[in-house]
Amino acid sequence: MNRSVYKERFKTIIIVVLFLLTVLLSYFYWQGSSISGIKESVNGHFPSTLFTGETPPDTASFVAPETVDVNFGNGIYTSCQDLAPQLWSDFVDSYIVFSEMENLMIEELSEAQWLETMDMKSIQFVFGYDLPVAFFESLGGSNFGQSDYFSHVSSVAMSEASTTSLFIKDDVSDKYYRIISDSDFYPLEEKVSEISHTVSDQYYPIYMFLGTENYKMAPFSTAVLLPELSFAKTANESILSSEKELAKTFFGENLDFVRRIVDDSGTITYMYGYGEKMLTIYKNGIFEYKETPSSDENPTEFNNVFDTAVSFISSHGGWYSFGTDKISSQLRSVSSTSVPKVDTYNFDFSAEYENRTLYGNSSSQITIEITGDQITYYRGSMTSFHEGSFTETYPENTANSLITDILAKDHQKIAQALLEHDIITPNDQEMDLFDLVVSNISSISTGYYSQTFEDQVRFIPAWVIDFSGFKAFYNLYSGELLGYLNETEH
Amino acid sequence: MRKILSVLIALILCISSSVMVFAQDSHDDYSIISPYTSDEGVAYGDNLLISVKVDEGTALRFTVFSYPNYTSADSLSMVPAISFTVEEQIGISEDYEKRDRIGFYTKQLNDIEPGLYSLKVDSLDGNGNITDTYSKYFIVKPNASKTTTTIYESQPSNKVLFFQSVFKSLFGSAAEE
Repeated sequence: MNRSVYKERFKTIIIVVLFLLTVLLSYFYWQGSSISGIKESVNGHFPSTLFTGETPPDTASFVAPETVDVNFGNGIYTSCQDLAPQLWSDFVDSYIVFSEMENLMIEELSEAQWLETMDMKSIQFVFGYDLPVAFFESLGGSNFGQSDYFSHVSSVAMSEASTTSLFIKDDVSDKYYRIISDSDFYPLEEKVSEISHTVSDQYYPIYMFLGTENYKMAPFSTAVLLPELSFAKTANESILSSEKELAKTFFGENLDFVRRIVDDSGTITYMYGYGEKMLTIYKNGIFEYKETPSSDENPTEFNNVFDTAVSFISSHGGWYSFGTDKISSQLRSVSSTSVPKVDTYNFDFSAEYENRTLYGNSSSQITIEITGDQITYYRGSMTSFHEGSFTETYPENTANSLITDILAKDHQKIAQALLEHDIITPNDQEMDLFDLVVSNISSISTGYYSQTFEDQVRFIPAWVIDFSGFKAFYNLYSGELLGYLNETEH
Repeated sequence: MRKILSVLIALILCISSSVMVFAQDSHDDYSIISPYTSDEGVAYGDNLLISVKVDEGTALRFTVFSYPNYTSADSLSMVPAISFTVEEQIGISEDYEKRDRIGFYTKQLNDIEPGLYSLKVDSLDGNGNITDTYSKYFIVKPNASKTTTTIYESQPSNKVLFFQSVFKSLFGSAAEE
């Protein structure tokens, strides 16, 4: 008697459990998640952002300074681009030791003290964007400071003014600091000497060779010989054949409740529900993913947000595939906005050849936006290049063009472009045009400008003259204008 | 009165908003921007930058001379006249051909010894004949040694805040246990 009652009760429990499982599975089915997605959703993040076997890259590997500015201490300055990743990596090793030291102290500096410090023998790592302090601290495995003093790191430097100190510049709050330790932690002399033997370009304040008030350091010529890069493109038809696979990474394996729309221009749109999630794949291989913000969760931890961004890109279209390991991806911009309760972070990654950015080709730029704990915008490229098609061609004529000649020849043309893009205003034109253009220069560096052809993409070595986000590109050898790029509209 | 005042304000605004063009050695057809010298005519460093902004339609010849008879001085006014009599040309004399737009003559001379130097600028006519000559004299000195400058006291000021030691004393020992 008792035995049959237990049996019946057991059956009832089984039926209840099965019923609940059915409800749960139906729920996930309705959400369009794959089984692996269900597993992940238990952790609470992005059911559709799972890794597909590929290990996400180390987030720290995406962070490297844009340039390393060196003062040799004898009135000679230079700036290294190609050496920047190696110098940065060496610095991080020293920084780990530094951050573990006892009795570290912090002192706020005046701008005059900072300038005086950098006017001595020094090495300054300049990011070109403002790195949240939490990420910088995580490089050393320490959490000193914790933003009680500064929130961002825009530059980090060592100087013979105090070899036991680490100097930090925070452009967001426009403040300067030094963190003081008990002993030397960075081989400044050795590094400066190493750089002096490998880098030959000398930098001067712009006023010293162009005669107009501008204290930014820049070269007027370069001895660096950069090759032209070219890649054979995969045919567009072949790119688009893999669009369904890409869509599955966003909407789940079965693409349930997802509509696929193809318009006259060949643009393919995948839409989930009433447009809560949309993936648009353009004919040139560029794709955009948008999600209606619904999250009111605020992770606030920058490191978590950055991890999420890197992981998401790794599992959705991935990093650039140029068919060569000479091209790497680097974080080139971080920005954040705070609306009530929820923070939004924007990250831009660019493709780099020996730490020189490949500009002008939208396929070499990855942008991702995270609102709260949700990916709300992601732009990447499906364009891929044939394995082994990468070529580097060095020029026969090795004479590089001079910045002074370029600006003398084209300052009117540049002024016109700056005016058209609202970088300068018509009132500014009352000044001498040459002085107007030169006074607006924020940096001069070398990089690559892309030219796209039917079956290949070429990257031309270029002078990059930056006007606070508006960039003019000039052929490094011929000095001819290649094009403009307005990053202020981003 | 108001009119005068508003004109004055506009004038002040115009002057303050305009870009400052650095003190240059200006001539009718060209301006010497560098060697960038102090008021005493001193350029620092062992690399010498020459930069000259040249107006359209102007042809020039540039030559650099050194003066071995130079005796050390802190300013050009202290250099004795005898120093200028014996000159040695450094490098080659270079011509800047006339262009239909403004242009620059730029040159970097490396490993320059301290001493007295001059940049001679010859103005040329259409046949390459010298029509005018100007020499800019300057003293090259090793870069002012800044290593002796003390920016930071060995003992930090009282603005310094301890933080890691405080963290460690509060949490470090507990964590180790």
